[in-house]
Amino acid sequence: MAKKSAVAITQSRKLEHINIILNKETQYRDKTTMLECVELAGNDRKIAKADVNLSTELIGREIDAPIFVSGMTGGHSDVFEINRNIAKAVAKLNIPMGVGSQRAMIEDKSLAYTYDVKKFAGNIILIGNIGATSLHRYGSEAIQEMLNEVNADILAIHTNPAQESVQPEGDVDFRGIFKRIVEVAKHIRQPTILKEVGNGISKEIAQRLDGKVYGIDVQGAGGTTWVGVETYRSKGEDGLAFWDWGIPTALSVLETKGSFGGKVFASGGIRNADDVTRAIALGADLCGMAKPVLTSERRHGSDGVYKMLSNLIDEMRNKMAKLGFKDIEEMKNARVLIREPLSEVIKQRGIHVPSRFVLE
Amino acid sequence: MSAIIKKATGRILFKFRLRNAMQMLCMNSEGINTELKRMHFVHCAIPDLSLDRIRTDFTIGKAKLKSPILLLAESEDDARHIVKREKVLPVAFLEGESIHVLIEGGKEVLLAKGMYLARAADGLAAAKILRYGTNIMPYIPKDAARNAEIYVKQLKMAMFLTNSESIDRMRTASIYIVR
Repeated sequence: MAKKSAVAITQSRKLEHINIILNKETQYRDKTTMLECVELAGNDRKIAKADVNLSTELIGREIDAPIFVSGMTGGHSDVFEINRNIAKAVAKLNIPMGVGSQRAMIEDKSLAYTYDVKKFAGNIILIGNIGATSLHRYGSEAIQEMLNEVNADILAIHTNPAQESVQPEGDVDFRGIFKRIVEVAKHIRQPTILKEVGNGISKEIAQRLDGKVYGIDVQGAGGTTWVGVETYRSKGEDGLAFWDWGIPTALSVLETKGSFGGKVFASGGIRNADDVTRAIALGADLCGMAKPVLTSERRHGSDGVYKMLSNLIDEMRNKMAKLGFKDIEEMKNARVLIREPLSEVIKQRGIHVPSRFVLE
Repeated sequence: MSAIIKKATGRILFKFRLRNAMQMLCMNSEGINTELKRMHFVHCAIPDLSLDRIRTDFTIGKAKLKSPILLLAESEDDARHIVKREKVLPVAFLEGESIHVLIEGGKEVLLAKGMYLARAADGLAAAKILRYGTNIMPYIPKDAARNAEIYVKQLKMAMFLTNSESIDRMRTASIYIVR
C-alpha cells in the first residue's frame, strides 16, 4: 500500500508540474540570465550562411548543433506523448534530448515505456535522469538498470535543494549526497552529468566536481523557477521569498568554466539564438532548452518542436555568418565584452576569465 | 545622531541618520531594504545538510536564543504579556537606548550598546540582515507574529541553500552585490 502511494504521488506530481509550467507564471521575476550583459566582437570577414558549420562533439559522437532538449518529463502515461514527439523532432536534427527523472520507472517498471524514446528517434544521444536525493534510496546497480532499460547514453543527476525545500513531499536530506554522486558516476557505464534545475552552479561546487563527472549543466537562474512551480503546488508562502533565488546562467557558466575541466552545458532561460551564441562564447559546449520546447510540443506536437528548433538553428547560422564565425570552435574563441552588472560580479567573485574577455 | 553598522572586521559599512528614540535603535526600513535587495547569497547546489535538522540557535553573551529573529513588542508590559504565549521567537522591547530580549524561563537579556534592529520583510531578509553586519539583528513587529513559523522556515532555507550549519556560519556565507 505504501509503495503504491509513493508511485501515485510521483505520477500526480509529474502532471501538476506540466500543468503549472504551461498555465501559470513561473519565470524569474527580478533576476535575468545576465546573458544580456554579453556582447560578441565579430571577425572581420564575410562568411556565407551556408558555410557555417554548427556541428560539435558530445561523448565522442558528432551532433549537428550545440543545443539539446533538457530532460523534462516521464513517468505518467499522459506525458509519454511529450517525450515521443520531442524524440521524433530531435532525430531529424541530430541533437540530443533528455528525459525527466526516471525515479518513477524504478518505483514502477510498467512506466519505463514513458522514457523509452529511442525507437522513435534513431540514434540520438539520450540523456537519462535521476534526482540526487534518490541516490540515498537506489544503488548504482538500480541506476545502471534504469539507464539500460531505455538505452540511455548519458546519466544526468539533478540536484535541486531549493525545489525540494518548497515541494510539499520534498526530500530535504542532502547529507552525504556529494559522495553518492561521485560513487555512482564512478560505477555506471555511461558518462555522468551533474545538473541543477534552475538555481545554478557555483565555482566552489564546480571545483569539487572537477575530474569526477563528465559534465556540468549549470541550469542557472533566469528562466523557469522551480521554487515558483512548487510554491503553486504547495499553496504555501515559504517559497515566495525564494522565487528569484539562484545564480544567473551567464554567471554560472563562468563560475563553472573557470573551475571545471569537463563539458559545460548552459541551460536556464535559454530562449533564442542570441542566448545560445552568447553562452557558447562564454565557454559553454552546449545549450539546453526546456520550456520553449514544451510549449511548442503542446501546441503543435512533433512538427512544432521541429519547426521551433530548426528556426533557432537557422537563426544561429545567420548570427554566426554576420559575425564572421565559420564554426563553433571560432565562436568559442570570440572576443567578448562583458557589461555591468555581470562584469562587476565577476570581479567580486574572483572568477578567472580568458584574456579574450574585456570586462567593462 | 547616527547608527553605524559594522562588518565582522570592524569596518564601518553604513551610517544612518536617526531622529527619534525608536529610530535610534530600529533601522530605517527603506534604506536598508534597498541594500538588501542588491545582496545575493551564492547558491549551494549540493549542501551537506538536511533542512529538517537545521537549528537557528543564536548566542548573545551567555544567553542562548532559539532564533536570531526578534518579535518586537510595544513596551515592556506588552512584551511580558506576549512572551507567555509566543512559542517561536524571542520577544524584545525597547527602553531608552537599550534593546531588551525576553527568553525562556522569564530571563531577560540586554543587547550590547551599539546593537541595532532592522525590520525583516521575510525570513530571507532576516538572513541577509544577519549577513550584512555583526551589530544588527532582524525583527518583526508583533502583528506579524502569526507568520513567525514561516519566517523561521525561510531563515532555515537560507541556511540550507548556503550550506550553513549555524547562524555564525551563515554570517560568513558567500554573497555578491548587484548595483
